[in-house]
Amino acid sequence: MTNKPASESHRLAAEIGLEQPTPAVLEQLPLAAATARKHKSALKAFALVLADEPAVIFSAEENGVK
Amino acid sequence: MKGCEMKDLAYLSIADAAPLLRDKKLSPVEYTNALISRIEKHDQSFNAFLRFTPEIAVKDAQRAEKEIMRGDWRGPFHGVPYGLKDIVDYADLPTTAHSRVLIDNVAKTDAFVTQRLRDGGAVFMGKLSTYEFALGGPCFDLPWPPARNPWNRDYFCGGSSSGSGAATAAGFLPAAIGTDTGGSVRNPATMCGVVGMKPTYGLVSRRGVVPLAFSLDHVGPLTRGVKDNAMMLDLIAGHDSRDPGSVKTEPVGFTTGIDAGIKGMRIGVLRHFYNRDMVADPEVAAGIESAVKVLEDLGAVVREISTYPLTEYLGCNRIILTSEAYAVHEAWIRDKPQDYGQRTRQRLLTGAFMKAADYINANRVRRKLSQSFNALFADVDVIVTSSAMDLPCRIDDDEQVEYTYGRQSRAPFNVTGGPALAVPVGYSKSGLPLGMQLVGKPFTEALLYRAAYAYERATDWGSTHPALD
Repeated sequence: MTNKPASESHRLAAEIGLEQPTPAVLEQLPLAAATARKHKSALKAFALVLADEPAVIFSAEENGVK
Repeated sequence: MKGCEMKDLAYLSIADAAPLLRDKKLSPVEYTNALISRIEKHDQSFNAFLRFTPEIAVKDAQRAEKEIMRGDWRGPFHGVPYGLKDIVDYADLPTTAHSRVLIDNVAKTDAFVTQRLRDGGAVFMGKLSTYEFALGGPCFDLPWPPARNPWNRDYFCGGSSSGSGAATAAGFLPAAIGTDTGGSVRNPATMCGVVGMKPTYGLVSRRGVVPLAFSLDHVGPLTRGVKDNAMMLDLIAGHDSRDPGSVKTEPVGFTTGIDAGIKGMRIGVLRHFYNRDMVADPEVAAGIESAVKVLEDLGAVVREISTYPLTEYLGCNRIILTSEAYAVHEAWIRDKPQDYGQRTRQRLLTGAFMKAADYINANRVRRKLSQSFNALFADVDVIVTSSAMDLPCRIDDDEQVEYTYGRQSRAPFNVTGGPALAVPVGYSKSGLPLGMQLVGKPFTEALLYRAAYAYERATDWGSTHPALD
């Protein structure tokens, strides 16, 4: 018995946890992944500027901690 | 008001209508019926309304008339017709978000803004078309058709508050509510030649509005004139303890000082957004340059300014937007993907490929961009830049619709959170509207209205209307 290699679309579906994607969804996944890469690449260089910045993802003041 | 023709009522401003209504010189019922007739005659060509509700409108108008006749005038929106983008709740009516997914979603209560308009005695005319879930684009695979541009029905009218832009431009309504996560009030305002405000984040409650991206969503008004826009923001702004993003601010009075002029106002022109980072259509760029010259002639002190490249702001917006949107839609995408239009599903699936690290880093970048952008206001009071880079395109040209989707400079101000106002600056050779944005630091809406009102009075673009026949 040989394993049939998964298509790129099936691989992407597995990556995002879609267990039974419809054919229409499968067809759209490569473009969705490419668009996500494009958006991320727009920020890649800029993120390096932030390497030494404190990460602010929880505001103490706004959440009444101080 | 006797002898007033339907065309006059169709393009009556709220600023002019309010005293007529208050002084019993204009009947809310006559006003409403005139607009109902106009909508019945023309909207089959434009699809601005997803759910037209003349029966509610007549009842609201009759109630307003009775109240005004007995001396109980509630304020400038009493007896004034308006519409809601169909992601905003109106009690006992479906809020569909223009989607099969929510086709049976009947709102139990009013949204905060709906309640404000109801309390102000405004006349509800119906629910307006949107892009599906305020995200997709003009689509023909949804239960309702997309809105079309009143200046040329073969062209799209921008979005996602498409019906809000189309209805105000077409003279169906003097005012409409839209929402804006990456530019969705200001895009249809620009494409339809009307005025659209994205207020400061938190100034207008989002309670009762279908979320797209929690940290970028804003609710704002679309009107034909600047003063009307300020009047509507006066009515809908305010703290709401049931929207965690809502801010506690004192009422400002957005029309106060609106006619004070702009002599000495420091205006920064952010040109690199539209002449370097992206190159706008020459007619769009020329429209903005003409507007800057008018502002200078009115006494503003104009200088060029710069910030991070537009693409950084757009990337930041898209990573946060698609991540948050996927968080809203993940279960539905998994369970009933077929209920979405093809274009919306495509955009939503992008969010599935954003990782936690991407979202966190985008938020770190957002903080940096916001701090840097707001620092510009040490040297300027108002910033002028582009809104759309391109003219409206044909609604059936999928390739062009996709091409123009990302070519905009509105999303940066969803990232920074400050107010941004789209204002018409004329028309292309082909007769399609051109626009610019006026941008301020947080909570300076009144200043933007003052600048825009001075410009509007000097140019009078708003007196030209589309021929619907």
